[in-house]
Amino acid sequence: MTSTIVAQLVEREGLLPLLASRERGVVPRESEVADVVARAQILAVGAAADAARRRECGDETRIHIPTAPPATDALVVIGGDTVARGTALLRRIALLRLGGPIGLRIVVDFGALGLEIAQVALSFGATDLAGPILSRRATPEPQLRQGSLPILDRDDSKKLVKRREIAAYVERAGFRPVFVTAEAQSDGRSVPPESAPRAHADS
Amino acid sequence: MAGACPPNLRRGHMQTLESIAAKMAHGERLSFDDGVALFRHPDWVAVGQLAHSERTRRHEDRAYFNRNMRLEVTNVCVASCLFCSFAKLKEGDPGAHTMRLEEAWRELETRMDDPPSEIHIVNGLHPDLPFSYYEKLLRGFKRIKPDVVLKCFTAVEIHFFAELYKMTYEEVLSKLRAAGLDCLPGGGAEIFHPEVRTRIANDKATADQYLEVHDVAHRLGMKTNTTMLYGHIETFEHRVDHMLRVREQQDKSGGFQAFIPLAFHPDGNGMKNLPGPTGVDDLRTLAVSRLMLDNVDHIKAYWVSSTPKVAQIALRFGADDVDGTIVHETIYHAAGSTSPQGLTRDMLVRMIREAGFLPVERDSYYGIVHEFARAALPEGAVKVRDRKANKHLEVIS
Repeated sequence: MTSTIVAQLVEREGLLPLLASRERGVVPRESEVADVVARAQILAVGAAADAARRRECGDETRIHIPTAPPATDALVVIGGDTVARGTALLRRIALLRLGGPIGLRIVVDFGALGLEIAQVALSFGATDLAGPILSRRATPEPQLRQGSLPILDRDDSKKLVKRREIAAYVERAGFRPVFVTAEAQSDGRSVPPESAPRAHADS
Repeated sequence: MAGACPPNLRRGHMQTLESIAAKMAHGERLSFDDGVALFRHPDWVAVGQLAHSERTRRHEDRAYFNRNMRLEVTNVCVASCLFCSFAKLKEGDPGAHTMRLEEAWRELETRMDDPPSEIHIVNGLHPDLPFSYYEKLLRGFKRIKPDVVLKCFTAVEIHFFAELYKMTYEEVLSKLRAAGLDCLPGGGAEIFHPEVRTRIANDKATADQYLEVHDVAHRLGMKTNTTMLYGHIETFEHRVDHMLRVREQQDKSGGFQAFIPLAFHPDGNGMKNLPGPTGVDDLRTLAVSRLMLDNVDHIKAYWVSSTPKVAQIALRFGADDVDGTIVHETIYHAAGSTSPQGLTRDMLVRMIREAGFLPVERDSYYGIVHEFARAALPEGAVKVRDRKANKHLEVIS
C-alpha cells in the first residue's frame, strides 16, 4: 500500500489485523476473515488482499497457457464454474487471499471469465492468469477472425489474445508477467522469474 | 498498492494522492498536472477510492439507470472516422441502411406495452436526406408517445445539419425542438486535442464546433451530455486536456448533465491493430473523470462499451450511472462489443444491488422515477461455509 489513503481505508474497515496475522505466518480463522471481508468496503478488501499478495507472492503474475494447472492445496483456480460475477467475484478472490493458505496461488481463467475482469482481479489478490493465447504459429481460420482479434464466438470469454496483449494487461495492472507453458506445468517444474521469457519480447 | 509504473509512461510531476486529496478537501480545483498524476499513479485502487469518496459525497449510494431505447436510423455517413465500424459511405454499400420513417416509429410502437421513457438517436452524417426527414421522425415519436423524451443527434450531427441545410446552430436546434427534440446526447466528442482529432476524425465538426453546439443548446435551455473516446492513440495528457475543456465549457454554459467516457473498441475499423483499453484503464478513466469534472454532476459507466461486469465495478470508481436498458444498440456492436444488446430493468437493478448500491430509475433529467429496495446483503456479499482449518474458503454467491 503506497498511499496513506488506502492504508487508512484498510485500517478503518478493520482489515489490518488480518494482514498482521498473515505477516506472522498465521492464517486467520475462517469465521473472522469471512465476517470482516463480507462487511468491508470492496476497495478496502482489494487493497488488503493486494498487500497480502505482494508480501507473500511478490509482483510476478504467472500466465498459464493454454489452460490452468490442476488445483492443489497451494493453488486454486477461479474458472467458468464460478457463479460470482463483477464485484462478488472480486470479493471472492480477496477472501481466498486473506483467508487461504500463506502464499496461495490464485489462478483466474480469463478464457472463461473475460480478460477485463481477470486483469482487475490481479489487484484483488489473484496471482496467476490462465487461458488460450494466440500463437504466432497457429493462425486461426479466417472466418473466425474479426478485426485484428480472432473470435471464436460472440462471447468475449472466448476471445483469443496475443502474448504481448496479455502481457500489457498484466503490466498495466502494475504486475510483472511471466509465461508458464503447458510443458513446464506437466513436468511439475516451477518457472523462476529470472529464466522465464518476458512476454512482450516474445511476440 | 505498490506496483511497477507501466514502462511506456513518462514519470514526472508526480503529485501525491495525499496532496490531491488535500486540494479536494479544501475545495480547490484539480490542475492538469493533478489529472496526469492520477492517470499515472501506480496505486490505481487508491485513485478509485478518492473518486468513490467524491461520488458518495454527491450521490450517497444511489446508482442511476433509465429505460431508454437506442436507435440508429441511418448508418450512411460522409465522415470517415478511423475508430468507426458503424458507418457506410453511401446508400447501396453493403450493410448500409436508412430506415423509412414508418420503420423507425414501429420500433417504439412495438414496445408500447413497456415503453421506454427516452429515445436516444445517433446517426451517420447522411448527405441526401432532407431536413424534414428528421423533423417528421421526431414528430412521429411524439405522436405515438407524447411524454417520451427525445435525446437525439450529436453535436457533430447538428453541425453537419447546419452546414448541409445552411442554417445556424440555433436555427437547427430551434426547428428540431419545435418538432419534439428535448436534449442532446454526448457523442462525437472523441478526443478534443487537435493532435489526436485531426488523425482520427478529421472530416467532421472540430472540438470548438462541437462545444459551440453544446453552448448554443445550453443557452436555449437544453440539457446535454458529453463524452470522451479513449484507449486508442491518445495519451493521458490528451485525456486530461479533454476533461479540462469540458470543465471550462461547463463553467460557461452549465448544461452538461453527465460525462461518459467511452472505451474504444478496435474490431472492424481503421484502428483495428490497436488493442483497446483494459479493464483497469476503464476504471481509472472513470475515476479520474469524477475527480477532474467537479462541475458535472454525473459520471456514466456506459455498460455497452465496458461490459456490464466492469460497469458494475465502476460504481466503486466514481461512476453513479450505468445508462439504461438500451434496446437495439448497433454502433458498439459493429466495433466488436460483446456486451448484450439490451439489459432488462430487472437485470440492471440486480447488477446495481449486487454492487451494494441503491438502484434508482431516473428520467432523462435525473428526476427520480422509482427507488428500488436495497439488497438484503451488503455489496457483493458472499456467504462462507465453515470448513476445516487450512482448507480453501468456499464461497457461495
